[in-house]
Amino acid sequence: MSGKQGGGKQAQQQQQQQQGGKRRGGTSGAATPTTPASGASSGGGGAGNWDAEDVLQAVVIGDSFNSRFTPITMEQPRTLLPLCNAPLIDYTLEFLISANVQEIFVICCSHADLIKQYIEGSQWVRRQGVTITCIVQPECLSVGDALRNIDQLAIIRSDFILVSGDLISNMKLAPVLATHRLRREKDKGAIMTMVMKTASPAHRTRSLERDSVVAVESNSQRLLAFRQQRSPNATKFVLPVSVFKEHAAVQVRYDLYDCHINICSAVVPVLFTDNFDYQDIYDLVHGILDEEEILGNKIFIHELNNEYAARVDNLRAYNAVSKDVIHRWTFPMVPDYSSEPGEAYKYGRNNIYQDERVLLSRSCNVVEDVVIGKGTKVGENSQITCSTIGRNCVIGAGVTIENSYIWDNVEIEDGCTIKNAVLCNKAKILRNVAVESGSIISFNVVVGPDVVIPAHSKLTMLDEDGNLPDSDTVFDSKVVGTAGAGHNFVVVPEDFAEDELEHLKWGVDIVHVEDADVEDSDDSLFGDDTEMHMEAPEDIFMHEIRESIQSVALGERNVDVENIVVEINGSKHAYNIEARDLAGLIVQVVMEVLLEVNPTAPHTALKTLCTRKNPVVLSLLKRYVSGQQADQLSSITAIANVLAEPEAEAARGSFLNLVHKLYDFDVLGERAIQTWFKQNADEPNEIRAKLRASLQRLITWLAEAEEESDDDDEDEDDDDDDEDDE
Amino acid sequence: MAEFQVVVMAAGSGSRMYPLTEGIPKALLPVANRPLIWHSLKLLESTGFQGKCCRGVHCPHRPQRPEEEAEISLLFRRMVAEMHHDHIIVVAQRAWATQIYNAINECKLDKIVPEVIGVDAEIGTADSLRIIREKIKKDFIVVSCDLISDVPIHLIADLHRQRDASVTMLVAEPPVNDAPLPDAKAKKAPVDEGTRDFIGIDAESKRLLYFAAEADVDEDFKIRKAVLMRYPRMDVTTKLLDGHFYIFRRWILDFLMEERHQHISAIKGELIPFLVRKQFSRRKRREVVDPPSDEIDLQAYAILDDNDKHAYSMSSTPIDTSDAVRCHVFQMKDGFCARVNTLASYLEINRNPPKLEFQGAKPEPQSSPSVAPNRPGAQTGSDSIVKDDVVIGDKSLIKKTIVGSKCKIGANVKLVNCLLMDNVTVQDGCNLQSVVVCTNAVIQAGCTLRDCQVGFGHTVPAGTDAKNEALVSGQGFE
Repeated sequence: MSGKQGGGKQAQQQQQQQQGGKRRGGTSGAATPTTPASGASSGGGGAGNWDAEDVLQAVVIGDSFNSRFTPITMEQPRTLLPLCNAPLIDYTLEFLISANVQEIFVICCSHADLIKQYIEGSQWVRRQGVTITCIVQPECLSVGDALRNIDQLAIIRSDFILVSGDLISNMKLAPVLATHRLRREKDKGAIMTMVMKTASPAHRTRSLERDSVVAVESNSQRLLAFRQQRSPNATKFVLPVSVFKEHAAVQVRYDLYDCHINICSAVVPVLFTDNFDYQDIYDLVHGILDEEEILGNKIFIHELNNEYAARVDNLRAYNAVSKDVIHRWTFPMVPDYSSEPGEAYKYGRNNIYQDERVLLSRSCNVVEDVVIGKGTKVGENSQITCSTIGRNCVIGAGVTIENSYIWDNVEIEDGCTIKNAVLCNKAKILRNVAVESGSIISFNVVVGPDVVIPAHSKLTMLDEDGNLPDSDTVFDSKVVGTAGAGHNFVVVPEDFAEDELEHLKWGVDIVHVEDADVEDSDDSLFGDDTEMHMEAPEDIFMHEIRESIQSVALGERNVDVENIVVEINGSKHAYNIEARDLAGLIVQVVMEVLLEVNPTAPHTALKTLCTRKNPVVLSLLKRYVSGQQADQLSSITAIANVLAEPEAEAARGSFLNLVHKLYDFDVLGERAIQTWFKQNADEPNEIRAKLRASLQRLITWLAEAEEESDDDDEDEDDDDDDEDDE
Repeated sequence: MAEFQVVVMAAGSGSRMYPLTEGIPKALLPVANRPLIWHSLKLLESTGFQGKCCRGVHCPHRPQRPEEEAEISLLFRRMVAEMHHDHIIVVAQRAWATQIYNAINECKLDKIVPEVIGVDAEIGTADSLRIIREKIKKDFIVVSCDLISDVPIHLIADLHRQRDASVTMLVAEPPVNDAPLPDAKAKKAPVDEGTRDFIGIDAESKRLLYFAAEADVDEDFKIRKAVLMRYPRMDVTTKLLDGHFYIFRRWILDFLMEERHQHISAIKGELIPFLVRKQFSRRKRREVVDPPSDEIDLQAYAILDDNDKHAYSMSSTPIDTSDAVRCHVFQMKDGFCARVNTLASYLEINRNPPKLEFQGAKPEPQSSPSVAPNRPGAQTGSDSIVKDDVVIGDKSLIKKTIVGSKCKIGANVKLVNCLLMDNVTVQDGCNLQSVVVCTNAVIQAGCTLRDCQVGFGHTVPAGTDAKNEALVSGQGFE
């Protein structure tokens, strides 16, 4: 990447060059930087020292301190993961350099050697006017630790920029810095400016991991409250009421996300030292907002409207930001504009970026939003859409690649299908492999031939203890195929509950959830809060899905069955509904809706619903009930339960018809009906026993039909009509 | 404005204005020598309520001029008469209803002759609505009798129509205190504190997203995510004053009548917060919990409106039932808006009567000149309103003061920032500052009073020196 430097800054740059030259030694990367810090006092912002004022410093946190990208990050640090074929840190550094930052400290923790090695060999250290120093601190476990170390090293002289090493932005820092400094002159307490980007609540680039609401003072943009929710199912945000009591005009903003660009005064690292329990920047924010009002420290926000800034902090963000780059929101940080020396991307229509040395077969189809790196070959009849493909990859014939990220030197053999997946360097996909949504194939893994990699799989060469395989390692051929090499990686990130984790997964499902998000939340959020707390999770769950099913049943909305499935799955996780209970609950809800439509003869309602043009209810039942006999059994029980309720007395007569209809529509199998009938033979409850008895005719009929059915299907249909007439 | 009926709420006893309201309902407290309620009626009148067309309507309380009669065709008149029947209703305490009716008639409003309905004392405003619901045939405006404002009502109505709101309410920044007296400020501040509201508004659509009295919110300010999903920028403020002016859809009444909403007794305290909360919610849930009944939920009401039904039936897009309840606010930008519901605000409004000119509420010269003719030896500032029939003694000084009719003011009296209601006697040599004197009270010679209120018919003995006291004759107030 060779960024554009601001043209009119020649003179200033010259001056900086000299400084840069002097400090070049720093880049050789010792644990202690060689930067002279004698004149600087760490606390008070060393005014008076001429270069302290002039040199703009930035601290890049080169570690994420979490495991969102495992297993990839077990072998390569996050900052070096390629995004549109350029390592993340390149974007960050380019952003800082084009904002005229002159001194950059990169904190390296895990895989420090790799980061250091990369930076030292990269174009950045040869850049004029900027010093990049790697600070190797493998003992750091959090951003807090890193900043405490920074404080100890006493390298910060004035206001500095704190960013993470996975940041992509094209914003101009100068105006923010100017406002920050101005504010600081007036008020010493204005210690930090957080850059926040406006984005509607359902925006793809927003981090779902941290759903945040901020309260700012309307005029001054001072941050008054900051709330984050990890659980996607929370229905409310709670802000301290004092915020609104003490400030006459407050804006509550749900259209901002934190870009992780913070303009900090030199006192920030000191605050981290003082409060040794602060782990990340949010601890500081909460500390200042909640407790340190007394000290007069304030945080302000800067709202970013037209410029771009986002952090790649999980796979979903990786996907979203890649799309943003391809769609040129990050201009000039796009593949064709800023590429490594030796690379030359051409930007073509439909957002296709192609290096000059790409070999595309005549019949392959590159649809849209695609980046292809140099030396890559694509075989006949292959189709590529919405994906990035690295350098020197070999893609065979008849391969479909959709919405996937394929890094360098990957080989994909003929007939493979890859959707919503990440394939790391040197991964090898043998012929006829299907890689399903949300999967990660880490470095050097070989899969195939003829296997299906199920959705959300993570395959890595490392075993459970993180060791590379040796010659006698045996791989599970069920997982990776007969010629494959790799392990299934199953480690739940320690700090997340399961339903929260769901959101971090990336793939088709989630994209759907996002689409359905608005509706979804409407469904789930309402009613009085008190009720919410009193009800059992099953009940709430039923309300949720009842809503969806009811609206479909009454024809209020015409939705795709997929959407309802997504809603139901979402609610399922939200209320901890076990898979085996699901069928029964859904059938119960359907029954209730049917009773509402037709209180005496619900089976006619069922018939109308299922013979409709878009039989959503039927598809739902088929999906959740038909699959397993246990589900079918619990469904019949559910129907019986609903009918056994006193208020459904009028409808009891149609039990037989209901079961029969469901049988006709292939929701229930005859085996299940017979089993249920047998299982409940000694039902003590009189009403239920009666209901069961009413099935007798169907059972007899089924027994007869079974004998005849092999030869004559028509017969069955006739019988079926008879049943209707009754 | 024929599409709206108006209900003026004048049943408040004005307990926060004790002792002024001891012998008189709040609605009749004089403001600039007019009963308080006159100001809200005047506002309605100046907006065109009971305007031209109503002149032709036969009102049982007002004789018809023959030439007017001729102007209007019979058909039109019948139509209009139907439309305007019981156009404006004043809800008053039963005990005071007649008195209020007479007082309004005495004020000689040109176009408004309201019907006054007496209700029990101390019932909530929503309860009052339930009582008079038979008389309300269409969408209606509820306005409190203590609103003094020159707000352009048609703009509120425009917003209401434009957004097809279920309820539109008026909010405004409270008037700035031009001439703040240190004591007045001190008195005002604590009053403000407890009565503020948290009002959350979407700046663009003027949608009301959050509404709660400060006292009702304990520690947590809870915002539903669904609200923020739709309106991610919400302005929350405490500096806006609820004008107690609401435009409601008719269905709100049906909703209020329902059994399980009987607990809602006040409009501002309960109904509005309830409606705001119910925004973006969907019909459901309750039916499952309760035994099935023919209850219809809030959203169902909202859609029951005939016009809506018709519109929805013609629409090809599905009905979004989740957005059936819509609360909007009209935020008054310039102009004057104040509520006279506390002692402090009452003093304030009387202290600065010139503000009222904006709304055409300035006392008309022929009936009560705002500047009294100079009486021998007495100095009356132009910032005072003194009735004609007031007798003022020599060398008296009257500044920023309102003096009601038939008052007798002795010699060497100094009145600053005072309010004297009708028939008050102030004997020689009194020095009164920021004092409210109620009807029929007598202040005997040589009193020095500061920040006091003198109750109805009370006699302050000679030479009393009091500060910050309520001087009343009765054994207190319950």
